[in-house]
Amino acid sequence: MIALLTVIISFSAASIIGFIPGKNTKLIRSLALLAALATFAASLVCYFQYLAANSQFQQVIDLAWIPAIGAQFKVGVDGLSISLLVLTGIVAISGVLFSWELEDRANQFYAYYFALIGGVFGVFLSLDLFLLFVFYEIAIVPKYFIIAIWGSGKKTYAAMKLVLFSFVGSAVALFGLIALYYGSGQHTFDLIQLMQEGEFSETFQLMVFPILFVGFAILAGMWPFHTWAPTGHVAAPTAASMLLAGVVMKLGAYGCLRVAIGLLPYGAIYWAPVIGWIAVINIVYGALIALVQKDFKYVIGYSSVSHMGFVLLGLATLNEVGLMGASLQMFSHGIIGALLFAIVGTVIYTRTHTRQLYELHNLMARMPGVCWAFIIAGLASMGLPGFSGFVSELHVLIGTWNQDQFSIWIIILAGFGILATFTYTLVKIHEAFFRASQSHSTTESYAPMTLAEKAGCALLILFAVAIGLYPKLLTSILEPSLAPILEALAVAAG
Amino acid sequence: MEITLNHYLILSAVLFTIGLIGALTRRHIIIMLVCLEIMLNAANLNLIAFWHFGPNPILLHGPLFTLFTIAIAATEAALGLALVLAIYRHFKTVDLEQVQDLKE
Amino acid sequence: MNYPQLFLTTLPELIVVLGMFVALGFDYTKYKELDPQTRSNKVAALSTIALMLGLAGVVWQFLQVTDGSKTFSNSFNGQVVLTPLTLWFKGLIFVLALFVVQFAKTDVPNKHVSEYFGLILLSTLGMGFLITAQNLIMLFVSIELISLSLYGLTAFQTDKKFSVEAGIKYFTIGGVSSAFLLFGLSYLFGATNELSFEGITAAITSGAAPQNYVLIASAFLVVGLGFKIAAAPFHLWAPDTYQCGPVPVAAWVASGSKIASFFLLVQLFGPVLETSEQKETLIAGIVLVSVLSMVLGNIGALRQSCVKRLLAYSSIAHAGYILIGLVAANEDGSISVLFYAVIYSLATLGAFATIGIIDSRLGREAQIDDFNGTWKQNPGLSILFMIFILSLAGIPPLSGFFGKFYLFMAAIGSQPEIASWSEGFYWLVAVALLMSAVSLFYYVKVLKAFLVSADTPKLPSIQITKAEGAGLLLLAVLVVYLGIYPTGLVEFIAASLG
Repeated sequence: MIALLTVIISFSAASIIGFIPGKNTKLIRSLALLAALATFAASLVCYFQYLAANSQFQQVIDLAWIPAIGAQFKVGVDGLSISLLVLTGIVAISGVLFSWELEDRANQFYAYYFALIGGVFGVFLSLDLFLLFVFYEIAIVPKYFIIAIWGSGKKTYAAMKLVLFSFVGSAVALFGLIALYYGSGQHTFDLIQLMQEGEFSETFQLMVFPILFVGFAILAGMWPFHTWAPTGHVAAPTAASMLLAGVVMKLGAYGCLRVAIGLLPYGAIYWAPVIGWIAVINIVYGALIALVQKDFKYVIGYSSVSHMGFVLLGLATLNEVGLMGASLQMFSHGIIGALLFAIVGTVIYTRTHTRQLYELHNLMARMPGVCWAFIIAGLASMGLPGFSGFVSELHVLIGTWNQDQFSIWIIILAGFGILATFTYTLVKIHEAFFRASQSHSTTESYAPMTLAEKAGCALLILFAVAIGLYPKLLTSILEPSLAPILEALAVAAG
Repeated sequence: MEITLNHYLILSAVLFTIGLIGALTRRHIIIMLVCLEIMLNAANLNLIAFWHFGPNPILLHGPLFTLFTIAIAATEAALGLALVLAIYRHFKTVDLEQVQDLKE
Repeated sequence: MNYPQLFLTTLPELIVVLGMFVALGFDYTKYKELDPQTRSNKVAALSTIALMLGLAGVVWQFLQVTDGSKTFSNSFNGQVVLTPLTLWFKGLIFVLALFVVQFAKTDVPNKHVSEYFGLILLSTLGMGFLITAQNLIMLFVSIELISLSLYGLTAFQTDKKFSVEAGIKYFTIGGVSSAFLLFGLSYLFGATNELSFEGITAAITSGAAPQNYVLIASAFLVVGLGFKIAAAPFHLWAPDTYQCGPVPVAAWVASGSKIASFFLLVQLFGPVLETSEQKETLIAGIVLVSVLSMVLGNIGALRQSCVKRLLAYSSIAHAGYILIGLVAANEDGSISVLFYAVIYSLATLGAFATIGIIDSRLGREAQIDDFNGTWKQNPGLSILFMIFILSLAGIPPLSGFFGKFYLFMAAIGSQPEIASWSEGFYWLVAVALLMSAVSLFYYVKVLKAFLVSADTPKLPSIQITKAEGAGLLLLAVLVVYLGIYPTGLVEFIAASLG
């Protein structure tokens, strides 16, 4: 029940805030922060409950819903979903903190914002594929409005592109879900029942796995369907970029892991090398494009694509270490991606009013606090030891090494991708913060970070470091949740 | 030669086709109305023929249906003529070629 | 003939006809001197009362039939059969007509106020009869009653050139389609020598009917009914009619007549498709119509700037989606078709009503740009419109989503085991999903004007009458409710079809 509270709180917040007149910004943002804190608290309670009693799924609620199509209202949490619930809570809070100054149509903003968050929570909670899909699509429409109304640059184009890509992805996934319904012989959408009793023939798995995987992976930014991600992230207002990069892309990865790999292990084994190749293309391509971007936000946008490549690579390994790495990377990139977008999109932009790297210069002297925050985030993103990125990427690489189906080139390219990540992070940090300008000579200081910004950065950095130093915080809840998927994979491998 | 059901069916099919071709190609509204009537009457011919050659002509199903259709065809024609008047008032013509102000 | 029985069977219709004559009479005599708007309000009030009393009659019949204390099945020589299902749908038609009357009264096209409402009431009766019809004569008569009333309504703005032109187009194409329908019906009669649905179904399922006659009949019926539901390639009348007729009429064509036609399709084709030897050929034909409708409808809607025309193309596309349930040719298919027809009508009626409100305040036909910034002056209306449009687009938790999902499930369920993607209806569902993605583009484009644009609205203010507001709100609540909890309606339809 506590887990379900996250969804209930989000949707109630959306409807209540939507009806408050837009002028009461103070009331609106306090309520928004309160709601975000409440969802976070609920997810933490779930976390500790799960630590206390380690069973497969907890807090299962199962209500009859639409028997005509074998759908029920079934929710519950395991370690994997709890890690993502906590992530969503954190990003939701920091998103509110980084939009603290937003005044224009604030009531509508938070209404869409919480509708989106509610959809995301719902996906992570659903144990019924129909319900999961309903939440998955609920999360699509608010994104359009948030980007189209409060975004910048080519915002309507980016918003439309993002919505159409998400919708096409979900349509492809829907197709796969209906196939699952009939293919299982069970005529149910119950995820647990399908996992335990669904008997999918080998040809069925080979045919349906790519459909499901691609459908979900479009939202995870899989190459060549990633193009919505950079444009969408760049045009979105900061809170939305944080949510998109931090959480929404994880929806896709979560669907790939939970539904595609979890239910169709034989298909997963067959297609793993292909996914492996696509994943390294994601990693290398994203990193190289990030290297040549002139717009600071685009750098971060492409770095997201690159980092999601690690998630996909981890998924493709299909072994314990790799899947663990993928799950950790989801959490880790959620935190770090959100932090990077927050600093570039809000903290730097509101002071300098530009995102073009060539217009930024010598920021180190002019806003040292911000720079240190960004450097920490950049180092975490590079995967320096002590940060969460290091732990997750290390897991993924070890998993890749252990995956016998992969060609050696995948590992080499993944290594090259890490090198490229180092390069673009350092180059961009240099360009933005340390390069003295030729034309401008102003050295006046910018305003220091506001309290809300500091709090947001601190929250995100705290979690990045905590997981980096003590990964057991997450691995201990992820391990039992990944076990049944690994078991199914072992059975399928024969 | 004995006249069988098929003869009637062929005749009605021919009538229907004539009506359809007329309705599709002729642009004069009155002629189109006539063509519509021909099509409806082709169907009426079918009904009567099927009834006549059917197993139980005693039930009068066919003529009954036909009587209804004749009445309906009359109302349709009445409405059609009313529309023709309205068209003429605006366009000063009853040629459908020239009643094409609506954009595609 | 049992006259009391006959009287009770047609009670709701008699009430409505009586109400219509009362309205006409008052309008010609007592209200003659009043200004048009007052007259319109008074006549609309009379029509509303008539419809409500009629609805009460339907509800009474429904209660009688469901608890089994009375059956109306043999009355009227078996021309109409009242079952819980048909009565429920007839009740729905009356309810929708009530909404239409509320939306129609603020903007009556000309001084012939009572004729306008009279025609709306007549078409309502036609739809009600079509749903309960169990005999080919009744079927044809009620279809013509609907069509003739709607031709008249479309051309009702006699002072406007476009309205008349749309009327004549609708009339000529509709007339041809009626001829096709009648020709098909005559072959159906020839094949089975029966006029009642029951007898026809029995003759076809037992294999007694000559197959070639059945095939000819079905082909003509598909064409004839294809016109009525505005499925491509028989859709050419729809965009003009929707755009140029009075908006409440367009709403009525898109909602009420759609429900009635789809109900008929399910009744006529359900048994034929399940058992006939010509199943394969027929299904292939309907699939073709379905694909064409989805593609032409959605592609056509993309380039429209007039919102009514856009919705017309979207309704063509929706006819395509609904036909997917029909080709499933199983019980789930029939249920899903009826369910979708209901929720589609609710959403489309709401959308048209909103546009009608804005059109009437603007005094001209609204382009998408005219909606810019509506959220500023009337956030409530914008939210309701968003609900209707998103339901049409098939976004959960609105009912359009479940409706489509159910159609797709039914289609795939008709042949779930396949060896390659070309078998079964997986490919058809894939086409439909792709087209839904296309449709999202133009739906979002309309919503963007309503909810995103920061421009100053074209209209200084939008005042909505209480009746309009209540109608829209109720429609939106229904759209949301049937999306979140469709089980009640689905199970009712399933049990009644059973």
